[in-house]
Amino acid sequence: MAGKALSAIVGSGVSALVRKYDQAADLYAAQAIDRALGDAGLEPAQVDGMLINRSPGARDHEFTLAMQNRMGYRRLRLVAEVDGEGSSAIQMIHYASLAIGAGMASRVVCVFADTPLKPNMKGADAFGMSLPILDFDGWERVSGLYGPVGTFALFASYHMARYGIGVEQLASVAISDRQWAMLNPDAKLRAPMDLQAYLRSPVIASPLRMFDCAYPVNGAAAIVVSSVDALAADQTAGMRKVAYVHGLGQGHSTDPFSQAAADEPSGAQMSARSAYAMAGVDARQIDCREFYEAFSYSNLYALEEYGFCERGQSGALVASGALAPGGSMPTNTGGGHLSCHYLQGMTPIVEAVTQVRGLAGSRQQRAELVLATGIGSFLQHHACVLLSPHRTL
Amino acid sequence: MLGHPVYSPWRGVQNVEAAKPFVNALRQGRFVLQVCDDCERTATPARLRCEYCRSVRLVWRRAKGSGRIIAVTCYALQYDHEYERKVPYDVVLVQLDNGAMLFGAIDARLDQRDVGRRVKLELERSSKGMPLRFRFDGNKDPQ
Repeated sequence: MAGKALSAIVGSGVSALVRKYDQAADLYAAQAIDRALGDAGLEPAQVDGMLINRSPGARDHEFTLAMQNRMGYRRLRLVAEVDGEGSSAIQMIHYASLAIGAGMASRVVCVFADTPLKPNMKGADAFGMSLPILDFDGWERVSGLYGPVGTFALFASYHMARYGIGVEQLASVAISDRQWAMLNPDAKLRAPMDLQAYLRSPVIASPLRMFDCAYPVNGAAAIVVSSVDALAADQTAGMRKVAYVHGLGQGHSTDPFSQAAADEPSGAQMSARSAYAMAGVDARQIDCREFYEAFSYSNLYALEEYGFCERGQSGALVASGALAPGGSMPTNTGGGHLSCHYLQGMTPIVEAVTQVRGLAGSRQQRAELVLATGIGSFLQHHACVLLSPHRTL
Repeated sequence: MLGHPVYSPWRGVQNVEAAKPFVNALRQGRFVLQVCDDCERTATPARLRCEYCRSVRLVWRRAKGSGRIIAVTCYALQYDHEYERKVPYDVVLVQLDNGAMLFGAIDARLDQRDVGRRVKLELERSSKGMPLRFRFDGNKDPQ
């Protein structure tokens, strides 16, 4: 099957994004779906599948399978909620593509919504929940390890100590993202940022500062995945350019620090190998990288585990400016989670689709092959997708 | 986050059944971990099957709480104002000598240069409510 597209992403939509709680998650989701269908040039009646991904940051009752009823989709052939933590958005594209390949559906809407900001809450508190390391959730919290930020601070500390890098390399990730965001009118943080500005941002959990952390928003994003056959009919009706889905990968490890893990491929490596093999490509052929990077450290991790450099070399790579505009490895070209917005897996996938469709304006890069990734939990759950404007690679 | 006037180490722990042997032992001043009766490897708590050989014969055994700091973070943001530790406070990730990884509090101001230092669990303190608290083991010798 290598070479031939599994499916095509024909539309993407992002709702209004706000920094306060003003409405329920499903209202944002509905707006994102409307925008994605409008972008695709499709009518709601043409949708025959819907996958939803509710962030743990959204209230349970605000965004459920009732979305089908809320949207008035009377007849669907595929409905499910997907939960793979931060890898969920990419996983939705996997399951939509597989269902389409099996003939279960032809046009599947994949929608994510989040409302991490609740009434009377600051952005800094939006992700004050803890990430499980031990198998009894909550032990982290009672140990003082609040928020994913603390866990990722430990990852960053581990990496820095092991490979001898400093905060300047973390800063390079944040600065690179900001430089891309300055080219993206949809990005939330666009003020110029240099090393001094980075160092002025407050430490949250050392070594991570505020500018090492994702920028939480309330909102939603939706992607429309179509069968290639349905696309042929739709395109005659004037549909815009599409992003063909060529490689899917997942990898799920237990803990990344154990002695056993040293001898085994990481979940991210498994994810990369699967997708690259499916598409018949290797990392060197990838033009743009859209990484899930809730924290700056995640980019160092992804560069190494997805095969763009050897382990321990990512710090030098980001410090060289390779990831930034004009660099040899354009990465998080919309500003990423740190400067564009944090819609979990949807932030990287929306930018990947935008680049592949040639709709990225002044930040448009060569985008013959683009990688988007997702990371869930304690570097445990990984998913990726490879997109191209070409139906056959 | 609200409505808990008394700090309890149980607060927020969701899989209480899995945590019970671990926490009950800590309360009695003992530190236990799951060891596989078949392959003898130590698990990250709390597994139902051995992650190395998939054996069901995981048993809680008294363990040494000594190991090496592999990562350190210092909190500057107070997420929970009812939490008994006030910023700045440190959390360390420790690779125990038996291979298991644990994190916990440490009553010292640390920085990156402390990665690699040997620590051991301080059990009297942890039995009084602090889940896991480490202290430096031996003199200043980092390696």
